[in-house]
Amino acid sequence: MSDTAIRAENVSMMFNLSRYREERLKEYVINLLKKKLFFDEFWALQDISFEVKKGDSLGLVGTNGSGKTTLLKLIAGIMKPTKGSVVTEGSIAPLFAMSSGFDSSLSARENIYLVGAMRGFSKEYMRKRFDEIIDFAELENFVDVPVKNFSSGMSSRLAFAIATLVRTDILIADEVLAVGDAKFRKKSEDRMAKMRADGTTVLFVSHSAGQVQKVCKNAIWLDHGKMMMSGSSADVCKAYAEHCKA
Amino acid sequence: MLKLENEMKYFEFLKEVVKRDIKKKYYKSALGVLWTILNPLLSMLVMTFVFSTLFQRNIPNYPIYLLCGQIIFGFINSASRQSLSSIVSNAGYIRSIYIPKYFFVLSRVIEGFVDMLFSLIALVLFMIFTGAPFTVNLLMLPLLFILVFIFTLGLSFILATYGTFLRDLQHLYGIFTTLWMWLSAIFYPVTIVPSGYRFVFDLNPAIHYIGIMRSICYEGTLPSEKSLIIATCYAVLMLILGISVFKSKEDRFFLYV
Repeated sequence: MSDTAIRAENVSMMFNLSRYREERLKEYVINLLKKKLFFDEFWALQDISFEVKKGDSLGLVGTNGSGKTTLLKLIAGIMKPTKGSVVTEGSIAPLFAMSSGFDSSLSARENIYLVGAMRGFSKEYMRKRFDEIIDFAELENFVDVPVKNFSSGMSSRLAFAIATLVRTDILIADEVLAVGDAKFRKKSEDRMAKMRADGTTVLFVSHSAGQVQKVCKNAIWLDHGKMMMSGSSADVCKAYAEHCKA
Repeated sequence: MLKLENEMKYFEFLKEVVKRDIKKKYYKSALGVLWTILNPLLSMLVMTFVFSTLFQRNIPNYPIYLLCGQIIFGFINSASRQSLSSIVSNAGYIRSIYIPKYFFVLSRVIEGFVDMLFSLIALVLFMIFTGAPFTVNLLMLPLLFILVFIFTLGLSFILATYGTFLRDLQHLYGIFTTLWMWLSAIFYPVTIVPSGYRFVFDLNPAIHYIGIMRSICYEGTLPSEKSLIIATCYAVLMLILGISVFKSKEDRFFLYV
């Protein structure tokens, strides 16, 4: 047991743009004829190294397409880096605004158990947390409604509640506070502060520099897949804000 | 040790997914689980009518002969077909959380297996009804099921891998299984095949599993050692091949879902 929660060493991630969506034979043959198959390399991340200590919090800032989500997905183990390595210690709660991981035809209740099971929690354990989750997500009247009928705010509230109310060592939060209303955002920030106080390592992505500074001690600024700066979140956010103005 | 513990915690997920899919499958239909029993029964009746009445093929106790083949081939067919799209149709999970990906394939094969166990009820009913032999050899069935499960799992790993990269495979495989079904002597005895073409049947793994099933449930005899050895070899080889193909490609699934 070391005191490092996440260690990324020289991480690079390459996507082959032309290969990205070639799932039909027809497209494959067309691309083959055009000889486009092995070109269009796109490096979403280049040579990123950092370390996060247990209980620390790290924010990621950067423009759209700078590689923030890719980096989080590498840390969550959803993707494997093309080069370099990512080592994490402890259980991870991934929370991506773009993909909640819900089965939309199932109700909130069933999804809570399913998502819990995906993280390796037994039904017993989830049952104990159940009321708390529903209460936090403010979905008392929608427990048995299929998630496909939820508004985006409702499902992101549910996703946030599930991710943060079960025991976890590392929380990965990608743009999760963007959808909720002001009241829920406040509640979520408090909840994340409480988790940090309890020793959870937090990785946080937001376009709001204010939120990053509030939630995180340290931050990294990514631009086109390269690390521009890393340091205390106040310094990094300031530099990033200046860069955006220019 | 830590690794195994890590994998174990996902079995909760496997359980939930299998439960969910089985529930989804039968939830909306009025007869529910009864369909898994009725389905092979009804299609068996159709086939019995076509083959023994219209074609005048004289196989004694044809319904049981047919059901043995249908149940085994039906499992191989439906489980492998479902597995083919298992990675793609679970894209939502694969994009949002880390789960060992073989669980998606495993869950589909288990679902098919559960269906097969249900359809055994149809077979047992018909065996009682037609006075088929109930012998101590029936105790060999679990061994057969384990072998056919391992074989199908291996096949499913290969299909799931390439089905992710090439969506057309779904259609191609559908055509292939039709051919495979007709080459598996489900509806007719292998003896009607001209001896020059027999080798095709000897190479067909499904034939061996069906043959074991028939000696146990239809003839009431102990399956031959030779057939058991062949069936075991196919199962083990298929699983090794399947796992190695799947493991070598699974890190790239993400780019294709």
